[in-house]
Amino acid sequence: MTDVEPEPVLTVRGLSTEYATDRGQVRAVRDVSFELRRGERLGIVGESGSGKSALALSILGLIEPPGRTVAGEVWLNGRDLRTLSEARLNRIRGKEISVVFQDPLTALNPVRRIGPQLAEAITMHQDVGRAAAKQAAIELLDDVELPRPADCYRRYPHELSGGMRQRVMIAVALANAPDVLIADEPTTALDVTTQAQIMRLIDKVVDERGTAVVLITHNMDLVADFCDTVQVMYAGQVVERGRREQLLSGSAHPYTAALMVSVPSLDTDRAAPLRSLEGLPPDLAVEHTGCALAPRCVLGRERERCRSESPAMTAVVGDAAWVSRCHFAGEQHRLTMETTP
Amino acid sequence: MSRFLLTRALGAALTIVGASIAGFVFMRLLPGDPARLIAGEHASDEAVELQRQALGLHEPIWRQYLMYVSDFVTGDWGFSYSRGEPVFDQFVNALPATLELAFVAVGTALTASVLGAVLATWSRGGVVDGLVRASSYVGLGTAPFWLGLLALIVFFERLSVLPGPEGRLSPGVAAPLRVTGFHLVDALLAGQWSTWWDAVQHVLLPGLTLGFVLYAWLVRMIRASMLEFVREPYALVARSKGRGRWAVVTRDVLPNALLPAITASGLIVAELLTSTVLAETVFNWPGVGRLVTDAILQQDFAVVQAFIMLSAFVTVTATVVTDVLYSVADPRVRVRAT
Amino acid sequence: MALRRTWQRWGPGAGIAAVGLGLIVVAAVALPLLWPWNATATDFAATMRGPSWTHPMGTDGVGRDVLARFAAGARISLLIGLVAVTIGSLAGMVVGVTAGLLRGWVDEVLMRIMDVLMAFPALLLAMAVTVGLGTGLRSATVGVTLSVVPWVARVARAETLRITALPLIEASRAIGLPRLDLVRKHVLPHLLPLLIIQATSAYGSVVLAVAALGFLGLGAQVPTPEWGAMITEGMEPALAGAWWVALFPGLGMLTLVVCTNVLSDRIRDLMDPRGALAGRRSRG
Repeated sequence: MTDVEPEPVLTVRGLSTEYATDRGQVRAVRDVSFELRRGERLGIVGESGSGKSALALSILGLIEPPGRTVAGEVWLNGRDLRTLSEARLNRIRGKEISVVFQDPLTALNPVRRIGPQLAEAITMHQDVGRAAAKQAAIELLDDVELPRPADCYRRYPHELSGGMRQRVMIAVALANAPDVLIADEPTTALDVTTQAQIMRLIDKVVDERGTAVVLITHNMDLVADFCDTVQVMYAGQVVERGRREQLLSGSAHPYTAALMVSVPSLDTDRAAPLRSLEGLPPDLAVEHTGCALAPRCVLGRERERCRSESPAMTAVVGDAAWVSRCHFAGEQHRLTMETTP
Repeated sequence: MSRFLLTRALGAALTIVGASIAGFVFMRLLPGDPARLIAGEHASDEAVELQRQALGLHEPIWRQYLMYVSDFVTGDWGFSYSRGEPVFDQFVNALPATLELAFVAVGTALTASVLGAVLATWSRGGVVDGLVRASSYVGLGTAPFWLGLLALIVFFERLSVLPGPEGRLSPGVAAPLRVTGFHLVDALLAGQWSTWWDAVQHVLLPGLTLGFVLYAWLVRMIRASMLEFVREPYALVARSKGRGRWAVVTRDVLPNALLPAITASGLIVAELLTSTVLAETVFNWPGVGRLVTDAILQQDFAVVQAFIMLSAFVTVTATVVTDVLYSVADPRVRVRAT
Repeated sequence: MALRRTWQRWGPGAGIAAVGLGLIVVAAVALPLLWPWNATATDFAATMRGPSWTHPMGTDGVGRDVLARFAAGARISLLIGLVAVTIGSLAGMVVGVTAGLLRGWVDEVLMRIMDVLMAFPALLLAMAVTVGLGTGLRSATVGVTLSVVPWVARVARAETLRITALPLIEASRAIGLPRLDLVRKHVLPHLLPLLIIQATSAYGSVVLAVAALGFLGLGAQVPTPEWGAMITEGMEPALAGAWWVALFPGLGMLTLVVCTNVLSDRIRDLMDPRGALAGRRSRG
């Protein structure tokens, strides 16, 4: 990963989204930037309420009132989506960039059959006849490994299991072989066995098509298995970004460190202290000074600097691709290295 | 499925029986002697006694009830002494006028409310949404009889562009040959264009008055239902497929939102029944409503009782039918039940 | 500050509605005391006068001041609405709670009766009652009150069933809490907000139904300054050019009903947290 990196297919710069609530403006997404290269897999990790899903909708331009994307650029294949008209966006959504949502149970229209809901994703963007679209749809259902795809085509959503429906949703998202797939917690609503199957399926289908993936999740294990790059979000901000190995081996942000230990796996040392975060994410309706994590942070709870000065993104150990939004990134990095053998 | 239909129908039948008992008891509780009312104030005691025999007033009350019900079912709804006609015939004669008015009203109301709800959902929270909501509040807050009068003041008295409260046709214009009973249809069938145009002008104000009141109900329900459905994830998924805002509202949200709105249309029938009575009174429309209000003022209770029975029957039936329609239209219910 | 908070919570629509309702209430309460004209006093020297400074709403066919009659009508509508909705809701609550607590045949019989009442459209039920009891404001009030009962009873029963099925309640029944205490301590507090919602949303239709009865000649009788009856009186003059006699009572009714409906919807939104939050749920 040195000089001949492919061009980014998706570039997000300074994206910010606010929601109007009874208690004032809530900033769900704060100045988020990242690049996604062709075929790359980026994991976006954070607790619920950290602005992950709002980020996904902001990228697609699907924030609805009372929400509003207030700033930023979203460059996809050389065009800034934020400057495009609604009509042009409709031709891009589902064709060049598509999304798989968390809950497959409600993502399909309950009173329409599966098939037409998939076929219309094709006819909306490709100039094909009904029969051809149906054929393509059945092939897609086969691609996502649904048994008896022609039969599935005629089913209503409630006749399929959650895992099967999520397969349908993946087929919908990939119907036009998009350049970018956003998978927003694609397995959270499913049971553990199904989760693994679905992730294997996504792995296979995006590999075949060379699709770049943004995987949004709260599950560090998924990221460890699936992603090349990891970006951790807290309170609407990106707090750490780096290659998978870097973050897994020695994260340089206390929040990332805490996320990782809060998911104990079989091979972690049982004796290592689990340092999960105490307390709740901050109230985003209130402007706070200092680091957003400070009140919950093991490292910075007592430190004056953390409570008064908002940290900037800084490079960790000289690698520009690895950045952390922590005043004491180096110290945290050393600490992590010591506790994870 | 059939089990569901059966329990639903049984419940409805029970309610209708209850309503008929209520209607019957109410008639018997009325002050005054029905036999004397029918025979006339100056009739001899013998004549009244004969009338009493004829009405079966000597029978025990439960037999009277059974007689009343069997008569009602066979179309013997009693005799209207104020007009000297069987009640049944009066209803049959008045019904087409009411139905014609109702069709115009329901047609306009349905079109306008679906359009209004779609526009409101599309601009949710915006200016158009605000206007639709405001129009609904106004419609729900307006007495139909006052609205009708207002329309008459503006279009008849001030602007003189539409006819006044003179019923279905201008005086002197002969009704077209009765085929369906609907002047709008019969005039066309007879090729009488001027009669047709006259009928159109006459039905416009009462139809729209009634239509506006119904619109207010419908648009409120459909809009609320659509706002629920537009928040459903599948609406968002449709958007992510590349479908525009408008198309999502009309194609993904509207069909689903109409389902629950169907269930509420039993209430619409009740609203239509009451508003018809009021609108017909204002516009002198010779329909069932007019018939009933006249009968009340004439103390012609056989007519009133028949109307009460009928409206209970219509309301209950409408509720059941909409329930069944709903279960047939929703594949989740349909499949589970078969 | 507190005022501003309330304003923000309720929103501008509710604010305007409160002002409108306030105006009607002021007209009903204060005007009859202050206004020089009497609602029933005739003046044959000044019949069918259009709106002017002396008679802001004009005079009717026998020279009565329409504004004075308007205010008297407001009084009648407000009061009857209040009486019918209060008594109707209380009766409905008693029926519903009884049915929900006792279950069994009592429940069956009571709810069947409610079904029958609901089978008649509200106005027609009231019409039937006025035919039975004789025309007049009193029987009109009885009629509309009766039409409120089944709706409230249904809600009250459903809520009673829901609450008594809660584990907490089952537990307190198991340790021997008497039924009446159960109602007082657990059922009523839950029921109250629902009742308020039901009662306020019924208010508008009750006011309209009373006026409709007046209009049909079944409710308030003609010289009574009731809005519906006033519109009947104003009908012929209106078609002859004297629009004011019928216009103002209708406007008053429109204002009263729209304002109470707006307020009732807002109360529903605020009391039903699911509804209130649904529109403002942010994704994260």
